[in-house]
Amino acid sequence: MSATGYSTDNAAGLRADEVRERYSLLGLSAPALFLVGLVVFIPVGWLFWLSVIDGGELSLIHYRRMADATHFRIFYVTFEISILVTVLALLLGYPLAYLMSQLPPRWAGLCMIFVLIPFWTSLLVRTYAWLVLLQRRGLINETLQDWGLIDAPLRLVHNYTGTVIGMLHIMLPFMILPLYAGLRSVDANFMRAASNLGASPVRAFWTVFFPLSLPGVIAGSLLVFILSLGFYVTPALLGGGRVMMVSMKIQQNAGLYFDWGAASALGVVLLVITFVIFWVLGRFMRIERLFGG
Amino acid sequence: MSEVSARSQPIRIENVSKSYGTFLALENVNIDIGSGEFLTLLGPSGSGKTTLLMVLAGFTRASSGRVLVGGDDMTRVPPHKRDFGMVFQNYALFPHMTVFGNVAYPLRLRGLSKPEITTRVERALNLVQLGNLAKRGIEELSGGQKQRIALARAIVFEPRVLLMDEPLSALDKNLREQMQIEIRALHENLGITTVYVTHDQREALTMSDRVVVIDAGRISQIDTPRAIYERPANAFVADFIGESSLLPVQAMNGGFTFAGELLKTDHAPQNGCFLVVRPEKMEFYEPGMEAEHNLFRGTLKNVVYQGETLLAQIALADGRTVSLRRSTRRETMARIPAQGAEMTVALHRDDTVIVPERGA
Amino acid sequence: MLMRPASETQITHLGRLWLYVLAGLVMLFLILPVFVVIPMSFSDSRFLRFPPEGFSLRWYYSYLQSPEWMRATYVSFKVATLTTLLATPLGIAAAYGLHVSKVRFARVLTIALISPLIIPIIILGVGVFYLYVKLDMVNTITGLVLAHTILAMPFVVVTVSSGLQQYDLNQERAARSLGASRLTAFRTVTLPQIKGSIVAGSLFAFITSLDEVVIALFISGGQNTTLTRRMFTGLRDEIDPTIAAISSLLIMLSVMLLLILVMTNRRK
Repeated sequence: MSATGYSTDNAAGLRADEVRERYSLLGLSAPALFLVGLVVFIPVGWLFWLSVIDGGELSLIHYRRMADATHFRIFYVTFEISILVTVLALLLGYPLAYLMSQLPPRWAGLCMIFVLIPFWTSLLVRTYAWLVLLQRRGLINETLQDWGLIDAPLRLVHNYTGTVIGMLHIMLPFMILPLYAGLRSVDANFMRAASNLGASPVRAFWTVFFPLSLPGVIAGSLLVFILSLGFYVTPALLGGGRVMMVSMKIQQNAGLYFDWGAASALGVVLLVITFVIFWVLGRFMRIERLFGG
Repeated sequence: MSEVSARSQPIRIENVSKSYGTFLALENVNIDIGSGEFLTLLGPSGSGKTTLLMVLAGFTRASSGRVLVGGDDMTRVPPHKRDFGMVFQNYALFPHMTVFGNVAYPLRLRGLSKPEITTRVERALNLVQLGNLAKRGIEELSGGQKQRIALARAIVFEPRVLLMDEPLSALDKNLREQMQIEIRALHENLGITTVYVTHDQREALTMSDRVVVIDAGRISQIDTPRAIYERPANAFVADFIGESSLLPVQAMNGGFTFAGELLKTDHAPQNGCFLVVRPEKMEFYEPGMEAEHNLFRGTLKNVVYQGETLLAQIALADGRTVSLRRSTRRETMARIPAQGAEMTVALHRDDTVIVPERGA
Repeated sequence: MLMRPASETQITHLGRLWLYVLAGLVMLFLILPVFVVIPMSFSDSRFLRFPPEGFSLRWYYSYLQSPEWMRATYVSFKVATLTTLLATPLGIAAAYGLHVSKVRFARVLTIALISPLIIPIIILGVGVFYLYVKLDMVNTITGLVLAHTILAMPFVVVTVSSGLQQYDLNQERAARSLGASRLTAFRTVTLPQIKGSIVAGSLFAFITSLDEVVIALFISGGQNTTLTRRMFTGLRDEIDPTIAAISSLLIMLSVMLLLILVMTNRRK
């Protein structure tokens, strides 16, 4: 047998090897983390800081200034639109996602292309398309007039309606993709069992399938809702200045007025709301799954 | 002997322990493996046998202790510098390479020339009788074929040690038995020191030169298959290997007693022991057996006909059961009494094995 | 044919007809706006109409002959390429390192890496703008590349992580037992097999950078204005029909990239 001296030496050396290996593997992620720290955490942290500084002193004045009618209206509109878009996306997205989940792979793939092409198309291009489609003499109005459904063109753009339609179009793939993933994972045997036990197709759907699909519903809805809260491009272009969402106010404060205090205070509020929602979500499921991780 | 066995080396596992936090997976394991020996690590799931193999391979770091191969301290050497061949439970063949590519992989890493690689790969594939499959893709192979390719890949670079982690567990029974014979034959041919992990005691007994029985991170016994079977070191080994009943015995008056009677045996008495009864060692009672046999009186509870053998279960006075297993020859069948009838069975003193509960 | 059962619950195709119609309408809603732009870009008049009046390539010429638009296009593609070249290796290394390391806070680090996807982009925009003002990096290519990289990297991390999860890491052990160092094992065994995920991740990275609007609005300008910024300003002020031509080209680029993605991943 060996002298005891050897074993203790070895144990310490072995432990050192283990630690070194673990951390060098972890170190592979260091460059990425460094970049994120530099470009995300420092600026965002700075913003937090700016939101509580006024004229060089700690102060909550930026937050207090938000307690006025204008800001209240802005938050109200932001939430209202976000909820509306989420609900509409769910109502329109669920049937398609459901159908796709029930189809054989080739047909589902074909439908998926209809979802992926808009998803991969530039946000600006899609917003532009709606701008053109919804304008006074755009395709929609012209078609409705040709079919005799309306006499005068509808105001579909540069207002609330246009904003909602545009955002709905952008958000639908974000609803459909997680929803589809969730629906696909529902075991077909459940429906077979329900049918076998005597449930009609409609009953089987509502009592068995739909409850099982709820994780996907929640994932998709929360994703759409959060994205809508912070959305900028589409409301800015399709709202015509009549729709002011939080993101636009932030941009105005920072890019136009250089009022960092106001911009950061609003940003902090938006960020806190977002994180709270994600935290709640994180208790029910792994966040990385939302993004396919 | 082929040139490979000259490269094959002895292994010494010295005071190896492995702990995960408070859980002790291996505790002071000491094993000396001879050059060219086929050694099996046998134990139930979670016993630590795979952990020990991984420590040998270098994928798991021991918490303390050393691993010496041919006198060289390998403990802190990374896996890719150890020159060990390894066969994994799920084969781990590379799907993006052909059979040839897989087997050639270790040779390419070692910088051999193309013609040399081709020769060696062909030789290795022929050794496992799959010489004609060199161009195939991995997906096209059956389980048994994949197993053989994994084996070929592990030996093609003439490693000094071969490690196998339950390589046959995914195969069906017939294929498994066939592969056991082939692996053993390959070992005879090449003479590489081999460490084999399995939970199947029959497999261990069939293939090994020696067996290491591991129980909860500790070694229960290291011995030849025959010794493990005939002379288990403790109740755990006796129970794990083969079929047996364990009857508690008392140490009294310089000997062992069971049900009040003194047992004829050569074992030295100590407390907390068990009598190991192997059903096939039991015999029918015949007058005159009292001299060299230990007798057990009871009533016949049950007879289970199992094709080539039958198992007779006898209930003893204190409620315990002993079993008798005999072949179903006509003479034997005739000696079985009716159910419920009195029956006496006998165990020769040389077959009377007494073991402590745990420890060696 | 309509009376045949369509699913496990034996509902017929007829009984489900409304579902097919509704799904079809949604698909139409999704795809129509995208493709309506293309014919409009060939319109001869300033007023973009559908169906287009006349046939003309004037808006394409207008785009290709405009030094401002060309410069913006060049900037966007350059930034997108550099972003992809930076985000892809960084993302692969991070995804692999976090996947293989058995340290417990690896999960927290993963979330930190993905955080740019969670944080509302307007906040990132303002924050980065503020930082760049201090560092005098506004309107620089470097600034854009760094900002876009942190947006693009999460996509690489997510796709590569997902690919690694479906991959049998034991193969790396086998390779190491055969004599390959960790790096060699990764390079020769793992990398070829997660190729699909890497391609997907880098395509995502490229298109994320190319299409990025909000951050570009804050930090790109002057000589280094991106295509998206120019388009945004163009759309907000007066609808320059050239944008229809640019949009059509961008749509075709997207479809092409999507095709590449589908084809690389088909082999699985």
